Amino acid sequence: MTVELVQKIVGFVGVLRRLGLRVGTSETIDALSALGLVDLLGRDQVRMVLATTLVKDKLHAPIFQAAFEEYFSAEEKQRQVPEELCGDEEGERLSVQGRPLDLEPDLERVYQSLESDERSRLQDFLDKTSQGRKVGPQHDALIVQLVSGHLRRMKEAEEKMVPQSFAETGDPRIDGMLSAIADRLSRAGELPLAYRDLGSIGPEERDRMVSVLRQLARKLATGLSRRYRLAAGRKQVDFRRTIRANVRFGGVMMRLKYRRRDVRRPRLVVLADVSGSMERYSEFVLLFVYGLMRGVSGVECFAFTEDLVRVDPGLRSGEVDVIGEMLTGVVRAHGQTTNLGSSLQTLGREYGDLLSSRTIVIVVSDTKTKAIGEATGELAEIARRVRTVLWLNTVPEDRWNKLPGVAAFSRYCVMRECYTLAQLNDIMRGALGAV
Amino acid sequence: MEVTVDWLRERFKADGYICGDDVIIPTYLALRLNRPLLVEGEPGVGKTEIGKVLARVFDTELIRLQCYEGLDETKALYEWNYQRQLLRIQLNRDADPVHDMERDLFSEEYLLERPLLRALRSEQTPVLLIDEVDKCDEEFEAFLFEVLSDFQVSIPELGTIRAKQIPIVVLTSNRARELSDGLKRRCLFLYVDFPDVSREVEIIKARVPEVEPALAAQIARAIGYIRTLDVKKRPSIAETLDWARSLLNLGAHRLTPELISQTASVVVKSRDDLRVIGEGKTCVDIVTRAAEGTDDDS
Repeated sequence: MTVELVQKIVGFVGVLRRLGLRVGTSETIDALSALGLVDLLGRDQVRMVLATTLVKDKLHAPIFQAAFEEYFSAEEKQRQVPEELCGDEEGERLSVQGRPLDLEPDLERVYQSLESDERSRLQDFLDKTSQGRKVGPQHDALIVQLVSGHLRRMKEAEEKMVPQSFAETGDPRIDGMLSAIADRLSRAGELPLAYRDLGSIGPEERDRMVSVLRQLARKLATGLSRRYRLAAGRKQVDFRRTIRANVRFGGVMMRLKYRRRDVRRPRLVVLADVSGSMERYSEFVLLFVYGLMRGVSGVECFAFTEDLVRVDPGLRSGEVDVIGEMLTGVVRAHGQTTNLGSSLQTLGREYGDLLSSRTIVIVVSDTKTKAIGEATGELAEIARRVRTVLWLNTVPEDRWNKLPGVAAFSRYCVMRECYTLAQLNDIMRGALGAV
Repeated sequence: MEVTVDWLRERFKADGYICGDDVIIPTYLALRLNRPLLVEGEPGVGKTEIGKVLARVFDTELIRLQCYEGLDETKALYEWNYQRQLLRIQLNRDADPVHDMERDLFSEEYLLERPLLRALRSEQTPVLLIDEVDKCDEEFEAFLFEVLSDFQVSIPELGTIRAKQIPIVVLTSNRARELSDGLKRRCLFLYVDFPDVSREVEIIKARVPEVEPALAAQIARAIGYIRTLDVKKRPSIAETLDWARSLLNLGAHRLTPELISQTASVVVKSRDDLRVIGEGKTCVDIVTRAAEGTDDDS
């Protein structure tokens, strides 16, 4: 086993981790051991070996596949044609009247990652608009600005398609690779829906997303249901019943009888911000939470903008298709802006009976609200009355430092970034499994 | 004898288990690295069969632990034969001194070996099949960690028991619930998906050789199409083979909408799914899809 191979595999594992796969050191060692048993020149065999040892969930298979193709192709390309790349670099860059445009490195990367026909279209556009006109080098800066804006919008649209866990590391080589992998996944349509930004799910994919969401919720509810059933049957010995049951054995304790412990399932109270772009996220979160009804003792949902509105208490999992319409109705009735403080005040005043030591309050919001001070006070008061407040922040964590509400609210809740279904599932599994 | 990929591939094929390198390579790695193999997939794709095939290929005992909710150490590992112990106490009440009896009572004579202990104490390398591990609870999963990592267990009265021969361990899961990271980390992973059309034809030909090749191809294409429909439970390979046998018994040479409607209950197993594929237009679509495809499929 050469040092080069070890470094290559460790590098690949690093890329997988950035893509959200949990790969431990022991799995890496397994992968290296396993590679010693197959033909390293057989690409398919190498791929299968790495998949067997590094991937432990079917859901991660497309991500692994894209990463493998990109990582090992990049290595091969670098090894085989480094001079070509250097030599042709000027020819592949976007240009005006033969002059290459001086784009920022990340935007250059976006351009390079486009399909060839898209690159050609952009180049053709520049050629046509600068042909026969009095366009000279003095206009290059303006053209760069225009093209940069276009590429930046494409980059933002692409980032919405993929989880922010693919975010930049600062290492241009790795970032370039992650970007290329994300692009490969999104273009192939293979990125599992569970890893897509919920806000980017369009109407054409909504039904599929709801189907995936229901499967995950059902699985989680089954696990919770089983967990509480088992916990209820365990494990303090009931001496009186045990003695009575073992009299036939001359008093020898052959069979133990256990006291049934009253394990009380938590109640969920969900407060979903439906202002502006939050509506889409909130709809999916509510659908997921309703899917958990089998695993918890009760679910109460509220939507809020300027004030709090209860989502129909009669709603059951079979009727969740109407949730989207209801949320839209709330926005129409109560406005597009957010006033969390006022909403929490209404919760405490009119629905205080829902708030107890068994209650988990889940807030779905990007923390952008009026009157942060007032909201913080109300949140503190709610947090004192319930088991825990879990805040699902739809803004990626690396942008939290720009949100003043985050620091204020975090003191009274557990705040987690949550903009994909996979994150929502993990958070709910952790929150409900831990009670 | 050293196990190689080619050898394993041939042995699986000779045993009638039709699969590609996506199954062979992970199995090979599990054998060579002495790691348990965690096999996930939909019900009926052949996960349990891998364990059985390995037992036949290596001509060794298959020890099966069928998991279920509430399974614990006493059913999986060992239990003391309390009834015999009690009888012994009663019979020898006035005879042997207590301290001698106590030693005897917790000896091999009174130990009931369950599958895990049997696998560890086997003289010949067995295949240990832990079936449907997703049905057991998390506490039992945690109990399995010591077995799967170090191939040893601790019994208070007898001490630590280490495997005489490292068993070949295959765990299966239907993904009814998420398994813990601790368990996954200790295993190599294999996901068995539904076969593609050409592989399913091979399977039908191997298991139901009396079926005509053209009909086998139609069945495989039809099943492939049904799996894309909005059914609660997609038909597995077992259903494919049952359907092939049923059509053979009915003397069918090709699929027709009427035959599909009559035999739908062999393919799907719920009333809702029966409504989906038994409906007239769907039967016609299935026949159309079954007739498509190339001669290469058969």
